[in-house]
Amino acid sequence: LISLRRREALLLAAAAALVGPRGAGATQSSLPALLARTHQLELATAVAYDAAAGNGLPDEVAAAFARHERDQAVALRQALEALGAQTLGVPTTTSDVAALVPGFPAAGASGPERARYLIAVERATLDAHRAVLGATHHPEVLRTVASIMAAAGTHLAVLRDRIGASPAATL
Amino acid sequence: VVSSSRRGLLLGGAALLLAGCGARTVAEEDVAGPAPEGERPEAELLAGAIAVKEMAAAAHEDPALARIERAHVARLRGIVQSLSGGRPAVGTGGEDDPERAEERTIAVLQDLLPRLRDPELRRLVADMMVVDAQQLAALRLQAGGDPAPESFLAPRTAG
Repeated sequence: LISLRRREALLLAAAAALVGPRGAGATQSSLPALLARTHQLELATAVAYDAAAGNGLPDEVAAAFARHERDQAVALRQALEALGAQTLGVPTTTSDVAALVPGFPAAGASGPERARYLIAVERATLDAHRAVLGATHHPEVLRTVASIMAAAGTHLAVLRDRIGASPAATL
Repeated sequence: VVSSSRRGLLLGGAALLLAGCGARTVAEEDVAGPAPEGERPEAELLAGAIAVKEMAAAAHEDPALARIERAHVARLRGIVQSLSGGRPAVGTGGEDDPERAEERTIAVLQDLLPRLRDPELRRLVADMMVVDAQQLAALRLQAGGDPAPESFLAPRTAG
């Protein structure tokens, strides 16, 4: 396996540039809108992991996962820029995260409760990526989204392990 | 997975488009990208996914993980049957190491994804790939390794 941060960011931006800037008639189901949604949710997931550091997840795990989410968000933002499309509001607080994915754990929540919420956030983000899969045929966009989804799968396995579930879920 | 010459073409094209970006407006279908053309029938493409998942099922020592792979095989076989009634190909070469088998499975599914025309099939294959990534992380956990070290998980098909 290799680190793909820079390469994937370049390829996704390149692919977005190749398919062209955003058309005037773009809709909520258009590729730019769907990519903007995934960008916003990746950043929300990063904030959720920041909040879970030492509070549901070991510091080093939360920090690594937050960094992964921000790496992915960079690739998605560059694709949006190449499309000439706008990002959505950037979530920076736990209230922002809760507005996107309801159910943010209360102050006294247990570790497993926090892990369950992180699973919900990861799943919401995966759903957004699934929507992108239906909106484009572009190989590099699809490959990059797939590599992000696969990384999310590894996060889910760790989170499932934290709540005592089998790390590998069925389809 | 993608040849370096194709990557170079993509990046070169991107640079050209970015250089003169401002004035161009395109229709939504252009933004979505062209449908794959000249590609093999989807039933034939999915047969490759079946073969690699059978390989992964055989490699797993953990019965629960093997069962998941077999469930995927059954689901894919049903789709292939409904698409063409054809018999899927079997056998992609053995892989004794479960982690390597999962990496190979993820790589094959990621390679397959852009070649499928049907968005629902793309989503199904992606869902299976996410499950495979979970299995890979589970195996890494069992081995005492870092289960999730990558921001982008894209194993290579070769090897």
